[in-house]
Amino acid sequence: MVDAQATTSGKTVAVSMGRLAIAVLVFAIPLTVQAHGFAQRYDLPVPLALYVTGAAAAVALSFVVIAFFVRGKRTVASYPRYNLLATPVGHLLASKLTIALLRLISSGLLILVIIAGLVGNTNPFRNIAPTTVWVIWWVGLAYVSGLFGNLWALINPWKTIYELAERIVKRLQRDARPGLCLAYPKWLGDWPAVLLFICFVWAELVWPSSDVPASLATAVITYSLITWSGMFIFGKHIWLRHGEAFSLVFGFLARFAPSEVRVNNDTVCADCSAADCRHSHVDCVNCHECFEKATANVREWNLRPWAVGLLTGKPIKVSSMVLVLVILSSVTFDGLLATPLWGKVAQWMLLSEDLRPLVLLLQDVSGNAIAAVSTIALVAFLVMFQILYLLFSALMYISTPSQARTGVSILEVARLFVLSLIPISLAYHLAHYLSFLLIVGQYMIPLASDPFGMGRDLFGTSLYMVNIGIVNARFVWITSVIAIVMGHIVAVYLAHVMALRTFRNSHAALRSQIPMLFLMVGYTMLSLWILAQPIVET
Amino acid sequence: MRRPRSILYWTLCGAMLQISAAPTVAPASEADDVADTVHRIEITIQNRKVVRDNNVIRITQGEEVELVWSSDETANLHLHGYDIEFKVTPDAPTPITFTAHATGRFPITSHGFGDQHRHGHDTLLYLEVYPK
Repeated sequence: MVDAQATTSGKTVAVSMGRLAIAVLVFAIPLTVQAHGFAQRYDLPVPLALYVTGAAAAVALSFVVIAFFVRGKRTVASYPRYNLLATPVGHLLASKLTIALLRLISSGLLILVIIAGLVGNTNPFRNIAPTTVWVIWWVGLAYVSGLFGNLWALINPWKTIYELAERIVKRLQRDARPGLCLAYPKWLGDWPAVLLFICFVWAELVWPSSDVPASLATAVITYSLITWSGMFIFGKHIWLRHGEAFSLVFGFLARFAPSEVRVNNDTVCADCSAADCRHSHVDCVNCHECFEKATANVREWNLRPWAVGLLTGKPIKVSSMVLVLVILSSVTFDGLLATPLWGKVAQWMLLSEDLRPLVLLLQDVSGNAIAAVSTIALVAFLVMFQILYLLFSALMYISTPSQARTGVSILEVARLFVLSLIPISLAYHLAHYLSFLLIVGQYMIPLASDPFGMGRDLFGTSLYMVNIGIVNARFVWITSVIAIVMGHIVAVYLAHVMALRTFRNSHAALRSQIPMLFLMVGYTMLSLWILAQPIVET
Repeated sequence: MRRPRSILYWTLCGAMLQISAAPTVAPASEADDVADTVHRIEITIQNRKVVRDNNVIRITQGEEVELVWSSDETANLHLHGYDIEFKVTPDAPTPITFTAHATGRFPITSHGFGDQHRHGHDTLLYLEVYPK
């Protein structure tokens, strides 16, 4: 990357030097764009025929879903469940020993990442930290959350380590209080998580040092301290619910998953820190605080149909809505960063006179001029996405007959329907990172034997060569397009079910969904279009 | 109603994985049979740029590829993914041969021209290996 830190002494000198740096960057050196913090991707663009087929299928199947609802079929609020704890395998998987082992591994990895990052090899491919954080944890766990269930709630190392500290303190001082336990202000909502997650997205997509082990370790330490402080000040469960960004993010993705934890007993939830943990269900679903407290006989770990967890009866908080939209838009932005279009936009931004002061200001903070324009683009894209969604919510509101929407506001419509977009985002995540996970994930094999990059060979795998042929492009193409089309269809279906529950009659519900359908088809087309672009990255 | 569809989907995915996994292993054994049909591509570097209409070379998976490099300057080049590093000189064309066993879009970058050794990555062109 180009080092454009020429702005050090004297303001006028700084500006002219900065301009020079930018001019050099634009004209003399080919524009280098690096997306997704770490490692290269070798994806081929999806062929035009497959792209068109996918898009056509999305539109056609949307009408099939609508036709299904036109016939006035109402769906019931309950869904089939199967308690895994009643089976021997489920019992074993949920046993104290298994969970303790998983927590030990996860906490061990957190500590390993920090130590390896600080003292290990500085080459990102010879140090276990970047691969563990960006590939295994972030991409891998998002897959697990969406496809299987909320594993993060179980293995969150920050929670495990905090609980361990709590126990030690309790043993030393019997009457010690667990932290300050200040009252969490209601207006704060999930905003701490939103802010922290935006910082994380920036680090993932824009930060030039995201693959530098030492910088990454510093970032992890910073986040750990923030998390433990939050737990100490407001209480462990409160912070996990409102401030620990990944508990919220993986939690939202896991609402799509075919598994849930459930407590079918009122008294357990009586003193739960969330006032609304039983809001739309008869039982307490996916509230891990209550699940931990509950005795074995009232606990359930259920298999359930996909996506039913997204069907909330009640609008979610504004801050939660913003977080969901940031999750969606950040994955899409990651895709956009690798397209030739972004190369052109970045070039334009670097040459733009109007943006120059901002670029010069940001390049000092973020590292270089490319990071500066990416930062501007990221913020602009996140904001645009929010505005666009609110606009479509307004359209949804307007297109519903006024007598059918009494007592519902535009913002409530927005807060209600936002979860129906999660399947599209999950599908895009699946499509976008499939080969990345399978190819770059293999680095864990040599790294396991030599995590610090110091020439060790613990398991005899340190010389493993990454097999770039592990997935065929055709498989990736077909899986990606199927995933995106399926995600789209599930989204259309969910939004219709929500509309039927919100608005008075099926006619009104159907009319309300016309703008939503346009938004979803548009989003699906965008996702497919990104996949059809050659990935330009060096 | 969604559960059967999802099971079908994953079954299909599983089937595709097997289908697509098979050919990735095969070319190595076939390589001897098709060795006489080498896909030969000549590439010329002038003024640190590739002389071509576009910056993409398209080949098909399983092909024996021979990239013949002519350059007006010494340069260290790197074909990513396949991870082949080589040096081109103005004295004589440099042939690079390999079997295109893996699909994907792989950048060929220069790690410095002349005597300078930079770790900067300037993409000269892309090698696109399409599935059969």
